[in-house]
Amino acid sequence: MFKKLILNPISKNIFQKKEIFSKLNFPIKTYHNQVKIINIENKRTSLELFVSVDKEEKLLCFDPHWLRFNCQSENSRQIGTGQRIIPIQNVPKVLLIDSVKKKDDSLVIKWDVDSNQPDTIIPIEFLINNNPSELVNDDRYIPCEEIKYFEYFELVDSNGNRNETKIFEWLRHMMLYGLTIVKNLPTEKDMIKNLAELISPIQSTIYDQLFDVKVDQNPINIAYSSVGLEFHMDLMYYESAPGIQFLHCLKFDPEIVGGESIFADAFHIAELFRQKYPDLFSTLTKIPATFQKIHIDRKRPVYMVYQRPHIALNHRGKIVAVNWAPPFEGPLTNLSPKETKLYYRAYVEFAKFVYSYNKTIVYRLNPGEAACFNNRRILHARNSFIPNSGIRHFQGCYVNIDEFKSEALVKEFQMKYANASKNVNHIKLDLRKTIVGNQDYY
Amino acid sequence: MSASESLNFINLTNKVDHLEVLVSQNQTEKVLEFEPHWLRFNCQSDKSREPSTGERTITINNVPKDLKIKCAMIENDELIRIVWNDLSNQSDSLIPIEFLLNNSPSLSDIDFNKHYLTSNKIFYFDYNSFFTSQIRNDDKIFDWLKSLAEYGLCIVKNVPTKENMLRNLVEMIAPLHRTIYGEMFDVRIDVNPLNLAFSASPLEFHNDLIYYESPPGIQFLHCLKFDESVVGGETLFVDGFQIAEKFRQQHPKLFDVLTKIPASFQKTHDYQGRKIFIQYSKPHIVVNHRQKIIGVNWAPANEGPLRNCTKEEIKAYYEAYLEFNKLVYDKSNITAIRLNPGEVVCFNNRRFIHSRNGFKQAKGSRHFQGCYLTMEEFKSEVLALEYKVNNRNNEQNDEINQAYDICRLKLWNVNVANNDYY
Repeated sequence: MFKKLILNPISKNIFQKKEIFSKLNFPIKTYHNQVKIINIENKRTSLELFVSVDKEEKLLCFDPHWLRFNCQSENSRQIGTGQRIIPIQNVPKVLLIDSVKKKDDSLVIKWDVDSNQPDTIIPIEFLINNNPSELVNDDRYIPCEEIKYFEYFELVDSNGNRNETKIFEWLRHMMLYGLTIVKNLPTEKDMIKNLAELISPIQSTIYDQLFDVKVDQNPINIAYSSVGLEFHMDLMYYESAPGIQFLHCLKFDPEIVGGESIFADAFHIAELFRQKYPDLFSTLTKIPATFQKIHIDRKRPVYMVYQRPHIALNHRGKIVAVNWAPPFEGPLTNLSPKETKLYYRAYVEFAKFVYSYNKTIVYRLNPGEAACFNNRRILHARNSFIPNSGIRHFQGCYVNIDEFKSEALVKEFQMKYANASKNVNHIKLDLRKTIVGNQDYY
Repeated sequence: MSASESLNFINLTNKVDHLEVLVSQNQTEKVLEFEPHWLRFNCQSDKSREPSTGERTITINNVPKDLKIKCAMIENDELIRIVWNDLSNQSDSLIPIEFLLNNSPSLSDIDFNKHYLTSNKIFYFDYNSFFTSQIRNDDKIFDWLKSLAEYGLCIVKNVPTKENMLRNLVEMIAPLHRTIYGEMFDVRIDVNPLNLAFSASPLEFHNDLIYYESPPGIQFLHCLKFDESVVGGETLFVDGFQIAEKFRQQHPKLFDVLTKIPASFQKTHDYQGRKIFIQYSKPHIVVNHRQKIIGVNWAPANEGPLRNCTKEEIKAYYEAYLEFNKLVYDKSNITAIRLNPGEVVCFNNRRFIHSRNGFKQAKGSRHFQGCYLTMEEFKSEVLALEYKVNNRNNEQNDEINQAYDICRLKLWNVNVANNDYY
C-alpha cells in the first residue's frame, strides 16, 4: 500500500520544514519526421494541403497573403539577418494563386500575372509547423505544487564548464513549473550573479543589479525588514516586470524564528478562480488596477505609476499574464462608480482565493540555496520573523522574461537539432507554447 | 494620478453605501462619488501605508465584502476621516482631501486627459546649456526632457563627436537599457551585419526590438560622422499615434481588427557566442478599456507567420494591414532629418516608427552610436526633475505637502505608448 503524502493546510506563522524531492521525469517528444503530401489543391483564393504527419492525416488551408508574406526565398528574407524585406506597398489587396508546385522540400507558388509578385518559395516543414489555424489548446504549463532541486556544480563545474544538458533540464523545469531551488551555490557575495548569468545578463532595475534582502534601519522596501510579506510579484509598475527572480540565501541563523518563503502558482489560482467565478474573473481582465512606487527619500527617487488589469487574456480568451502585488497598489482612476464597485467585488473575492489556495509551498531556505522562480507567475510571500540576534541575509537579482524564454528555446533547439541543419523558424519547439506570463498573445 | 488644480472642495455627504463629495471647477459644481472599498484601500494613515516606503500594508482578507460608512468628517480642514460600520471591524480611514480630489476614479467625467503633443517642427536643444560652470542646469535639462516626453522627438546639438560621449548625455537621465545589442551599439556598415541597420540598405519604418514584451522606451542616436560625400542616409520618422488615430477615423472597422488580431514578431540572432530566439505575438495597435490608443507596434522586418488565427481573422488582418501601411508611407506623415555630426536625435521608440534611406558611401562614411532608456525609468526621472524644479524654493518638506506636490506634477498625464492603461 502506498502512503499518500498529505500536505497540511498552510498556517502562516507555524514553522514547517519541507523538503520535497521530486522525481519528475522528462518525457521528450519525438519529432515528426514522416511527412507525406497526399494532395495539393490550388483554390486560387486559398491553398489546400492534404498531408499525413506521422500517420495522422490533416487538411491545412492557407490564405494567399499569409503565403506571400511568409516566403522564405532571398527576395523576401535577407539571408544573414533573416529579416523580412518585402515592400508591403507593392503587395496588392487581391492576390490569386496561379499555380503551386512541389520542388524538393518546398512549395513554389506562382501568382497571377496582374499582381506582379515574384514566386513564393516556402519549405513544407515551415507550412506544417507554422500552420496559422492550428489553435494552441493543450496544457501550456503544469501547476507548480512542489520544489525541484538542482545542484549548482551539476550546472557548471568548478572550472566554469557548463553542462548544457543539465542547464536545459533546469530551464525546462522553470518554464513548465515556474520554480526550482539550486543547492550548494557558494555563500559568497555576488555568487548569485554567476547563476543568473548562465541564462542571460542580469535585468537591472531601480534596485540596481543585485539587491540585499536583510533588515535595514530605514528600509526602502518592506522586504528589507522583519515583517511578513503577503503574496505578490516584484516591480509590477514596470511594463516588463522582472522575469526570473533569484534569491540566494547567504545566511539564515538557526535562532531566527519564522522567515520562511512561501510560493503559490498564480496561473493555477487564476484558472480555478475562472472556473468558480466566471463573471468576477471577467471583471478582473477588463478593469485596470493601479500599481505604483512613489518614493522621494531614496538615493534614486522613484515616480512610477502603471495601470494594467490583474489578469490579461489573449484573443482566444487564454490567460497570458497575471499581475498581483497588493503592497504596490495605488488608487484606481478613470472609472465610473459602477466599475469601481464591480472591481472591488472581484478583487476582494480573488484575494480570498489567493489566501485560501491549498497548494502553497512553504520552505525555509538554507544557506547556499537559491530559489529561482518566474516572478510573473509564482507569487511569493514571507512569514514575519523574530531575529533573536540572528542574521537573515539573502542576495537577489532578476533576468528578463523574454531573454529567459529565448534561452530555454535555444537550448531545446540545441538539444534536439544539434546535428541536423535546421532553421529554428521552420521547426516546432515544445517550449514555444509554454506560457510564461509576459503577455505574449501566442 | 492627475493634476486637477482647478477643482475646489465644497462639502461632503455620507450616503452610507458611498460618499458624495461636492466640488466646483470653473464655476460649475459637480458631485464625485466614492465607493466604500476605494476609500478603505486608499487610506493614507500609518495603519494602511508603511510610512517610509509608502507601500500598502492592508490585509485584504480582513476587508469584508460589505462595507458601510458610519460617518465621514473633516479634520484640520485637510483630512477626511471615515468611520466604518461596527460590524465591518475596520479601523478608520484617513484620506487627505487633496488626494481625494486628485485621484478620484470618476475624474474622467471632469477633466481627465492623458495626452501627447504634436508639432510640425523639430525642437533643438543645446548640450552646452545643460551645464553652467560644470554644474547641471536642471531647468534646461528639464525643458529638454519635458519636450521629449510630450512631443516624443527632438535633437540635442553640440554633443562632442567622441566615441561614448552619448553615454555621458543619457546617463544624466538614467542607467542605459541593456538589450541583446548590449548597452551601446554602433550604426555603420558591418561586413556580416547582425541587423540590416548595420548596412547601407534602406530600412522600412519600424520600432526597435519590437519582439520584447517591453521594447526600448527612448532611443538616442548620436551622429559621429556623416560625410557630405555620402549620398542618402536620412533618418525618417512617422508618429505612430497620429497615423493610428487617422486610421481609426478613416477605417474604423479595420482599426478594430488591428487592435484584436495579434501580429507575430520574431528575432533569431547569433552574436559573440550568444544565440537568441525570441517570438512574441501582440496586436499592431493597443487600446485601453476606454478605447484610447496606448501602444503601437510596427516592425515588418521582424514579422513572422500569423499564428493561432482562423481563416476569417487572417483575411481581415491582411486587409487592415495593407491599408494601415499606406498611412505609414504617406509622405504627409513623414518627417525627414539628415543628422549632422554632433547631433543626437532623441525619440520615443514606442510612439515613433523610424526608418532610413539607403545610402552610398564612396569615399566618406556614416557612423552613429545609439542607446536606449527603459520607458518607465525615463518617465520616473522626468517626474523627479519636474518635482525638483517646481519645489526648489519650498522649505516645507513634510509629507502632506510632498504628497500634494506629487499630485500636481503635470507630466503624470503624458501618454508615452508603453501600454499603460492610465
